[in-house]
Amino acid sequence: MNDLEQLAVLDPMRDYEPSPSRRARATAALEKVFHEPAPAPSRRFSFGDAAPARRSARRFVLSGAVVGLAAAVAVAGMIVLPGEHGDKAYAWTAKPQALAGADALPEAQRCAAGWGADWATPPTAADILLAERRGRATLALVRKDGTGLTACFVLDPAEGAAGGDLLDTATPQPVNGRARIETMGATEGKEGWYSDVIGRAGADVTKLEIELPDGTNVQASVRNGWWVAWWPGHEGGKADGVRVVVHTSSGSKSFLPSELGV
Amino acid sequence: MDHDDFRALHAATYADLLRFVKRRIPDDDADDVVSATFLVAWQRSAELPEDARPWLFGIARNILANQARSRLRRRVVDVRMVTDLSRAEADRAPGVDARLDLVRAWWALSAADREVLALVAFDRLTDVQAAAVLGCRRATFRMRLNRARRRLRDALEPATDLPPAVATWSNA
Repeated sequence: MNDLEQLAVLDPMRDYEPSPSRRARATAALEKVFHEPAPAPSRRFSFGDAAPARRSARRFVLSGAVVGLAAAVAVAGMIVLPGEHGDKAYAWTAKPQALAGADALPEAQRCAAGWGADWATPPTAADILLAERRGRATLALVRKDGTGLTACFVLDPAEGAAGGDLLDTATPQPVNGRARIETMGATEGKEGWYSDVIGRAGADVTKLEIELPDGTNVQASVRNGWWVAWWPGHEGGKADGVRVVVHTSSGSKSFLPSELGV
Repeated sequence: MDHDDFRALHAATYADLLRFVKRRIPDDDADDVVSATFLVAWQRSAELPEDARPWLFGIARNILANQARSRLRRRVVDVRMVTDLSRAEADRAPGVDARLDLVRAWWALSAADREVLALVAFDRLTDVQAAAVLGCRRATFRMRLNRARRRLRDALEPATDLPPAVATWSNA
């Protein structure tokens, strides 16, 4: 019996069958559905609609979904995090180099190519909302087919795109002085763990910094109301493993990630 | 798709969808989510794929995620309920200790790991279907699944020297 088969034994719904009365209620509810007005046919459904959380599930822990379980996680650090101090092999700088869209276009096109047929029109420089480089790595926010927004991460040009996940653009921009984390996590790459965070910022936010437990300040790239950063290490995968400092012209304020939506 | 076709779809998938939802939210709310899922599915029925079950699960997951957003649970839709056993039961039944270890290991995982594992182990989806539910590529899902399985093994056997992690790099 493999691990998945073992897990199946724990399924609380394994032997569940809805009662005839419950099924009858559901069938009756279905008849009401038929009386609902038909939607406008122009709006295309996609699995992006169905699963807005796709971007963060790819990562290892610790996103907002874990907030409710933070206590359990904190109880024992039960989540195994290999390489506690061995994740610093990446060529990386705490301060990013801002890239113009044209400079990040090759990476954006690689990310788009990774989507295959799901990305119909190759991106242009105008589709790049924000792009930064640290060492060899390029992180860019790229509009996909004029509608969706993807986080394109090329950690090492020799390796190709590391990610091209869809972001949720439905939520409004935070109010002045505030920021929100859309996705944060840690991923294990060839040179160890790395963390990345992508968020949105209020219109007056001039700068964001990620404070790591070892004292490192990671400067985020901020543009067009979005901000991104990445760093070697897995702090982004821990519940409140970093602090985020939001700067405006009127001052600075430090937040835990859980205060910013994760 | 006409009404009869959709009734047939409902009949064929209702129980699976209800189980999918009940794994993730309390029973009291499950019927509403299932009904809402079929409402969306009916409104999108022109785009119904050949394999409807993961498509329906994806819609339900989206509804659950949107509901959970207000509770800051926006990233993954966690599996909230796993059969647990009391210590008294464990004392009575041989082999149940191992199951308790598995339960503990399960809850030591991240919600994201639990979600990918549950899609395969509980919802009995293939990797292609599970990827459709999550809205990601199959290769990405397999990467997530492999990581989750490895972390499950780690949680079960923390002292075991496991082989080095497989390359986790993957074109997303």
